[in-house]
Amino acid sequence: MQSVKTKMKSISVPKLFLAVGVILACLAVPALSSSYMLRVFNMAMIAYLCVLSVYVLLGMCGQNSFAQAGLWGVGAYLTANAVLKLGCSSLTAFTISVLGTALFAFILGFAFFRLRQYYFTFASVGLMTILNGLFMNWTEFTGGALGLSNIPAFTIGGFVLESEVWKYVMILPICVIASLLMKVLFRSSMGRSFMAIRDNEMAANCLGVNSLLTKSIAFAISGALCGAAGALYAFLSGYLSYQSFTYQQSTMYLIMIMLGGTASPTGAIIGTLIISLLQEWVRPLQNYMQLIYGAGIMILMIVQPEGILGGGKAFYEKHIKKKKAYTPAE
Amino acid sequence: MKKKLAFLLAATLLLGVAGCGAKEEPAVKEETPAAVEAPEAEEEESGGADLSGDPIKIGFTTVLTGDRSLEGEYGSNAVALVEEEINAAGGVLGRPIEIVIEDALGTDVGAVNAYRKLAADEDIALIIGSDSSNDNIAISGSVLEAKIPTIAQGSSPKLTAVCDDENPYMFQIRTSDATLCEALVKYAVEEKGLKTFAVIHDTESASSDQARLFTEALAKYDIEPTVVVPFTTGTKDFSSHLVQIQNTQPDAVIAAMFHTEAAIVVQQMRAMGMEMPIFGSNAFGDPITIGLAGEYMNNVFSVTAWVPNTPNEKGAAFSQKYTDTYGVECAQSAAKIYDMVYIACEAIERAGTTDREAVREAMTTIDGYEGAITTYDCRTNGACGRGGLVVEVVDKVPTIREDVYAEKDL
Amino acid sequence: MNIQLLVSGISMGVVYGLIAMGMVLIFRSVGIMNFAQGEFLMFGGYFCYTCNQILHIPIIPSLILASLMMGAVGVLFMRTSYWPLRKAQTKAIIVSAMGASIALKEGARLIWGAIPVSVDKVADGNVNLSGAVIQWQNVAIIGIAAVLMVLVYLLLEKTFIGNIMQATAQDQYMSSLVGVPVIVSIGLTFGVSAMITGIGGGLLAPIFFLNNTMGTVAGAKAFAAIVIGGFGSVPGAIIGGLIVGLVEAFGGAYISTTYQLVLIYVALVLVLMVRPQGIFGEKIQEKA
Repeated sequence: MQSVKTKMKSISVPKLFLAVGVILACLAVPALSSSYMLRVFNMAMIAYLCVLSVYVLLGMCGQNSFAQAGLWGVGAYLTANAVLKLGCSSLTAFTISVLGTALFAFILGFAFFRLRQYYFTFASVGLMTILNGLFMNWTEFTGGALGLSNIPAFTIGGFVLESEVWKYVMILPICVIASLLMKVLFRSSMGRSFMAIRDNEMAANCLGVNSLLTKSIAFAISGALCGAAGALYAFLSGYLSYQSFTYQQSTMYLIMIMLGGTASPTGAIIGTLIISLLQEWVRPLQNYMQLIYGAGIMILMIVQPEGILGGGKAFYEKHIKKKKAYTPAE
Repeated sequence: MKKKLAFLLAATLLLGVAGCGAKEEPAVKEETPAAVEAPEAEEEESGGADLSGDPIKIGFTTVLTGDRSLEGEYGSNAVALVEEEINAAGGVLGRPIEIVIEDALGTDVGAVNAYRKLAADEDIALIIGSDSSNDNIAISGSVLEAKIPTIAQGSSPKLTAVCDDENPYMFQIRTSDATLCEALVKYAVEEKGLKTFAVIHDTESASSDQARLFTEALAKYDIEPTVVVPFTTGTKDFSSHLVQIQNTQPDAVIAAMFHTEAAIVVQQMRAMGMEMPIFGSNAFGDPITIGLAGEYMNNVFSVTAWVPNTPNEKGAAFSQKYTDTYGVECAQSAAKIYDMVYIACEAIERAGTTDREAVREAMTTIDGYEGAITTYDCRTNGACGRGGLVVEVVDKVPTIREDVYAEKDL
Repeated sequence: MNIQLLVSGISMGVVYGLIAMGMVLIFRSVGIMNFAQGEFLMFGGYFCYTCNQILHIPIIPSLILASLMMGAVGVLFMRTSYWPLRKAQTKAIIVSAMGASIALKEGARLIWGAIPVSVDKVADGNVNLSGAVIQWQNVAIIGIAAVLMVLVYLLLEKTFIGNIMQATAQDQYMSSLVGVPVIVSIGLTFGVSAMITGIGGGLLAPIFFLNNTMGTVAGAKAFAAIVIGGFGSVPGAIIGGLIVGLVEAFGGAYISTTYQLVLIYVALVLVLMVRPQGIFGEKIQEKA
């Protein structure tokens, strides 16, 4: 009994410190960084939402999709059209993006999840290319190759969130809410069906999980996250063009989550931060920057095949836990 | 061993985070290959003791890495030459200039991040944006926020509208595609007496925009293109496009695309026995395309702002210098950087200070400035370049057929 | 018109098939999709350029030299980006290959510059086939591709080394138990794959021109060829390549040139819906 209590104490104290540290860091970011670094963080948070969508699909449900940047684009263009053409308020546009992209993904899910495992992955590559082609050429919806410009910043109650700090203040809570929702999802019965499918689809079917419906729901949730990210990107940048929503961007999300670790949203945070900052941090290398960046991804993956979070856990279990176990014996 | 490596990487990453997070970043010294290759020039520059004081900093975002890195190679080469030339001639306001390069990566987000990184440096007086209308429209919001005079490199009329109506800090130091495309169509219809045209173009932004302008210019002569065939960047086999053109038997083909595609299209058209004249966007007169397509490049016309064998004195001198230094012909991507840097310096010189607002004011007084490419009129922000050339490629040399020049309507 | 489209479609299809064949070899051997195969094509082209244009070696020996160099690159690639991760999850290998692909692309740009270049043709001029025109270079590509395909078949099926490679592809652990040096066998597979693709790069250079991004689009179409043809099947890759080439030519002419690439992927999705394992593929057994 006693030991259990002490154990709980020893866990919760560092966790408390960690939580306070994270909150302080979040507050410190706008205070300490220039408008440039703030934009990098804002973009990183938007990327984080997309990576979170990969986490739902890949980490929870075991389905690897390369179409996430396409869904991100669908969300972004939905917002832009709602604001520019329908004259919707920012909040309505945001809602339209989230629900619209979710619905889009849900319907596509029914078609695409007839394919299993990597056949689905191949089809998602196809979907990505098709969407990018549409973004580039469908002039009515996307403004064609020159894109849509002059999307106003997020406005709420007559107050325009124009400055970079306000944008940070708007995006951060959405990311926090999304992460908390993922925690809820993780513990819900839906989340458990996702994981059942990831671990063994056939067994999950035997236990009464409708795998087609469940996977489509997972795709819809990932669509909602991408839709939110897209809406935020439209409000943040004010300009959309096909250059942003590419297959390369989708692979970037996979790289981010794989480097961070697929086991939890924390992995997504770590991966997104590392890649986003690595990209900016190698800038002084100029001509060599992407060479080092590519090599960096490769080396990180080789050193930490389970992602940094997975690798960190293994390290903790091997070295730190062992020591703790020895102490009482002495 | 593996663990040590991991720690090392983690440590460097942390350092990087700390470095990026810091508010005041140390200026990044530019490291173009030219600077590495020509160490003597560097030494001379720092040794030429005439210049005193802190350097005047000009920012330059270009695509150094990634899919569009062609522009960055020319751009950074040109910048190294111009910087050296200006500093050897006494600098600006008695101070040397320093051009800080950031990589725009060829994406919207990359262009914005590169711009904002430069804008965060208080010492930078003016920024030259990257070579795509998309990138320039993408950074427009950041330009308004930072209030730094910015030179936009794109040539799209949509960008002209952005510079004229929305963003007093952006100056389009290019001749608008609208002027150029119209001039080429006029030449084809009036001088060459051609009646029917087919249009082939890349769906990427600059080329599809040019194709639209070509079609509009044709409409002024009541000519409908017999067929319009768009293609996606990176297409290698054009037979399905060319067959459609061949079926409609046009007098000539109007083409808007980049270098590699231009060379492939010319080669495949001639191989298929389509000998009609080709009227193309600027890539068709560029030394890169001519170098690739070689002997197939005949009966090809192009409207461009620049040819390496330009009659313009400044231009010819720079072209010669570029070829001597780098061993390749000077393409438009390099020449326009030369003009942009000189105009930036002119504006700073006229302002008499590096104060950003003053430089912006001074920029609008520049009128009739003779650059290496053409004459510039910056009294309104958009389409400051006023002229261009219609050229025909003869024996792999772009030969000037017509000078294009238009006064600005104010 | 149709003859021209047929001829162009087939000649492009062979090109895609050639690249796809390289990918399939690696897939069979280690069960992963090589996301850097397009970069092999680009590097092969640039090696050929170095030999042919800079060192002024005639084109045929240049191609052979480039191919040998690519063999070394393939082995090196295997050793650095695949081998350390062979026991990790597949996705880790894919990510490491993506990183390698960025690094290779940028490396090529740093070495050879961003200005597109060309090499000599194996054969100059055009052939006229009752109204359809095809460049001799394309004919040469089809011929050389056919020879390569036969050679790969002979290597895999009739030689001892090929048997070792096949054995490793089927069961790495088992073949290591019977004394097959797994690293050598996998290294050979990567080497052969890089050699085939590298020759492709050299052959394509005069008609496509070389720059550091040429591999990306070609790689994307080859990928579609593999999926359509059937994953892991060498004949499937070639048939898939032909289908992609024909869809491209006829779809472009009769449906839309704007959405040419999109059409290929629509075909890919349709084939997957009807026959997920592709035309020649064996259905991957689902584990109970």
